[in-house]
Amino acid sequence: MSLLTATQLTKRFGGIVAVNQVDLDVGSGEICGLIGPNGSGKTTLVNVITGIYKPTAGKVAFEGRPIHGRTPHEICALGIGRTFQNIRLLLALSVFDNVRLGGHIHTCSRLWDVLLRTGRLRREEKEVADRIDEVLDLTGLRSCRDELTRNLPYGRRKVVEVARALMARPKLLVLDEPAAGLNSSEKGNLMTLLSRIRDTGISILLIEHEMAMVEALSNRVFVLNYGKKISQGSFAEIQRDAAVIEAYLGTGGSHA
Amino acid sequence: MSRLNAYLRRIGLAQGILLVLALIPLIGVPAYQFYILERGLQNVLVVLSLVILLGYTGQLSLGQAGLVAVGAYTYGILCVNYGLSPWLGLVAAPLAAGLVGVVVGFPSFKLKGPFLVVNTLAFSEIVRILILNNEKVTGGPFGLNRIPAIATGLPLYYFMLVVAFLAAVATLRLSRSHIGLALKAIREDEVAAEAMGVHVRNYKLLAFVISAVLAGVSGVFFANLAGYLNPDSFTINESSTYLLMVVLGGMDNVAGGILSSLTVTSLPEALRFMARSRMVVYSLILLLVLRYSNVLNLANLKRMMRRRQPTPDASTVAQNKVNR
Amino acid sequence: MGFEAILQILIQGLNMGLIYALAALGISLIWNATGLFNFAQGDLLTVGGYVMLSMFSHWALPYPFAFLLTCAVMGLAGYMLSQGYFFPMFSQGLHPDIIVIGTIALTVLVQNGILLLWGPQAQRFSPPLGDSPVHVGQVIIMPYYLGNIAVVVVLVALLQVFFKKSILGIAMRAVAQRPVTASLMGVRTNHLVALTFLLATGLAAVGGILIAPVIPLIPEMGGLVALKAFAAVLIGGLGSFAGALIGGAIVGIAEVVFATLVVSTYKDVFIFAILIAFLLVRPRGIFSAEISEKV
Repeated sequence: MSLLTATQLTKRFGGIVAVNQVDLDVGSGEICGLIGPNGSGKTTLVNVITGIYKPTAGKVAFEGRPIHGRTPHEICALGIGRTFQNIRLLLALSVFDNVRLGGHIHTCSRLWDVLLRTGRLRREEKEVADRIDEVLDLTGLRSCRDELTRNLPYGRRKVVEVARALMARPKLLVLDEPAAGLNSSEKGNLMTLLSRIRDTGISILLIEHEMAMVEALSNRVFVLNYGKKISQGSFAEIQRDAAVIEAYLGTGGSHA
Repeated sequence: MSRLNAYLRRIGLAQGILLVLALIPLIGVPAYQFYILERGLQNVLVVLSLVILLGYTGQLSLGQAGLVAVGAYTYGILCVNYGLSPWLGLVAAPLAAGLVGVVVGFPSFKLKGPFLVVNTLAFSEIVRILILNNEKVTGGPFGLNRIPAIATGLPLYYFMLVVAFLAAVATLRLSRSHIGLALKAIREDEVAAEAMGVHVRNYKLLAFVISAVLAGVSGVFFANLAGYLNPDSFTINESSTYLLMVVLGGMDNVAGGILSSLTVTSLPEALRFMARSRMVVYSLILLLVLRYSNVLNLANLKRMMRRRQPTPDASTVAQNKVNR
Repeated sequence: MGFEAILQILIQGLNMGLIYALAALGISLIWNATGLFNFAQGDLLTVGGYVMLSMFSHWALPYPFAFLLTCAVMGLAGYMLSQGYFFPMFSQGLHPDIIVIGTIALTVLVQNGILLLWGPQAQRFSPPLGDSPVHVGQVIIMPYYLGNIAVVVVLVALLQVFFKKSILGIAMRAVAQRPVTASLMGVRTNHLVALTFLLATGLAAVGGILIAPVIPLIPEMGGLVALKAFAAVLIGGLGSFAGALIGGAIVGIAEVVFATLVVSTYKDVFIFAILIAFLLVRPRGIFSAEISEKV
C-alpha cells in the first residue's frame, strides 16, 4: 500500500486550472521525483497535498486515510513535512530556533507549564534541544546552531528548511526545489543527505529542476506539464518519453 | 552559552528597571509626579499585553482601551454595586476581560491588517458605548465613584510593582518557549507556521486572550489609582497611545516596553514647561520617533549603549531593507 | 410608515452618509496607491472643518472662496505629509504596521493641534443657505441637506472624469499597486503618491466643510467620525469608488434609522455590529473584487 495517494487531483484558481486531474503516489521508503517546466503546477500540486490549498476536485489519501481538505497543521501532525520553494524561515531568529519550530507539533507542555517553568517543561525543552542537535548533526548544520538565520548564505538556509521539516518526524518529506541556488558541493551534500534520510525510512517527494539529482535519487519520477501529468516511470523511462522531451523542448538533462 | 547569557541579560534589564522603580520612593518624589509614575506602571501591563499580541504575534489592535475598561468596570461594579471584596474583584476582572478577549479575538483567524484593527476598534467602542449608556450599573457619563481599593499609597505601588514584575517574567518565559516561538512564526509567516504544525487559529486566539487578561489587570489598577471611573478614559486615544508605547519600546521587547510606558506616560508632564503647546510637542515627538523607529528605538539604544553590536549605520539599515 | 417618513430618513441619512462616503473615498484612494490604511482620515476631515471655520466665520471670507481656499490648504498639507513623512517611511522599508501606527500617531497630533489652535469648546458656523428648516409637507429639510448632497454629487462626477479621462488620473490609477516596495522607487511614483494624499486630504476638507453645520466641531470629532468612515469603506469595499459611496450611504441611513426607530443612544452599537458582521462574513465588502493570495 502506498504511503501517499493522490487521485484525480484538480485545483482551479478562477478560470485557471493549475492542477488537472493528476494521479500520483509515493510508496514507503522511496524517493519520487516531481518534475516539469516552470509553471507546470508542481508547487500548486504540493500545496494541495499539504493542505495549503483545498482541492477543487479529487482526493488525497495518506496511509489510507483521506487528507484532502484538511488544514496544514493537521496534515503536519499526520506525518507530512515540507520545505518551500521560496525560503520561509524566520530570518530574525537563530538556526536553532528555526529548526525548533519544526518540532512544535510534538510539544505537550501547556501555557501553565511555560509560565511556571514546571519540571515537565524543562524536561521537554531538554528533549527538544537534544533532538534539534541530532537533526543539526544529520544535516551538517551543527556549526551554525546559534547563528542568526539572516546571516547564513542562501545554500545553508535551504538546508535549515530541511532540518526544520525533519523535526516533526515526518513519514513523508515534501521538498520544493531544495537544490535551487546551491553550488555543486552543496548539491553533493544535499544528495547525500536525502539518501540518508531515505535510508532512515522517510519517503521523499522531490520537486526539482536539477536533473542529475533527480536521476541519482529517484525510484520513480512524475512529470507535469500545464497542470497535467504527462508521464511517469523510472528516470530512464521518462527521459525517453517523447511527451516529456517535447514539454522541455529539448532542454531535458542536467542544468548548471 | 551565549544564548543563556543573552537571556539572563535580557531578563536582567527588565528586573533592573523594576528594581530601580522599587527604590524610587526612598528618595522621595512629589505626590503628583509619583502618581504619574504609578500610572506609568499601570500602563506597563497594557504595553506587555501588546508586546505579546503585536510584538510576538503580529496582531495589530486598537482595542486595548476597551479591554482595560472591561477590567476596570468589572472590578468597580463588583466592588461598588455588589460589595465584593477588592481581592475578588482583582480575580474576576481579568477573567471578564479574558472572556471579552475571546470574542474580540475570534475573527482574527480570517482578518488581517486594517480589517483586524477596525474590528478591535469596533469592539472597543461598543464596550465604551455600553458603559456610557447603562447609568444604573456603570454610572454612565457621571462615572463610577468611591471604588474601594486593594491598597493605597506605597503598599499599592509595591503591589503593582510585584504584579508588573511577575507579568514581565511571564512574558519573557512565554517568549522563550515553544508557544512564543509559534506566535512569532505566525507574525512572520502564517502559512509556513501552519505547515510546521502550529494551529494558527487557536494560537491567535490565545494571544488575544492573554493580552486581554493583562489589560484587565491593568484596568483593576487604574480603578485603584483613580478611585473613580469614567468612560472618557477608555477611548481610541488611549488605545492609540498604548500602540505608540509598544512600538517605541521595540515592539517585541519587554524591557523596552516597560521603559517606553514610563517615558511616554510621563512625557506630557515632563513637557509641562511648554505650557499650552506641550501636547502638540508630545505628539510631534511620537511621530518623529515612529518615523525613525528602525534606528531610534529603546531596544537599539540599549544595544548601542552596551556596545555588543556595532552602532546601526546606513549599511545595516540597508541590509535590513534587503532582508525584509 | 408613510412615504414622507421614509423620504425624511433617506434625505437625512444621505446627508451624513455622503460625508462618510467622502472620508471613505479618501481612505480608498490612499489604500489603492500605497496599501496604507489611513486611520487619520476622520481627524483630517475635522481639521478641514476647523480651517473653514477660521476662513469663513472668523476671517469672514466669502463662502465659495473660503471653501476653495480650505481645500487648497488641506490639499497642500496632504502633499507635504506624503512627501515629508509617509513616503520616506515607505521607501525606508519600515514595517507596514509601523506606518499604519504613524497614521494613528497623526490623529493624536491633529487632535492636539486643533485643541491648541481652536480650543476645546464646540464651535459651528452657519452654512450659506441658512439654518432654518424648510417644511415640505411632513418632511423637514434643512437647507444644507440638499446643498451637501449636491456638492458631493458634483465632486464625485468630477473625480470620475478626472480618473477616467485625464492623464494624471490614469497615471494615478496605474500606480495602484500594493504595497509600495523599494523597487517602485522613482521620482514619478513619489509625486503620484503625494498627489493621492493631496486628493485624499482635499476630500477630507470638503467633508469637514460639509459636516460642520450638521454636527458642531469639537477636537474629538475625528475619532467619532473615523469609525463610521471605516465602516463605510469596509462595508462598501476597500479600494472601490462605488463602494465608498454605497458604504457611506448605508452607514448614514442606518444611523438615522437606528436613531429614530430603535434606541437612539445605541445607534452606533448597531452600526458597529453590522460592521463586525460584514468583517466576519464578507470582509472584502460589497463591491470589492476577491484578491486571492498566491502562496
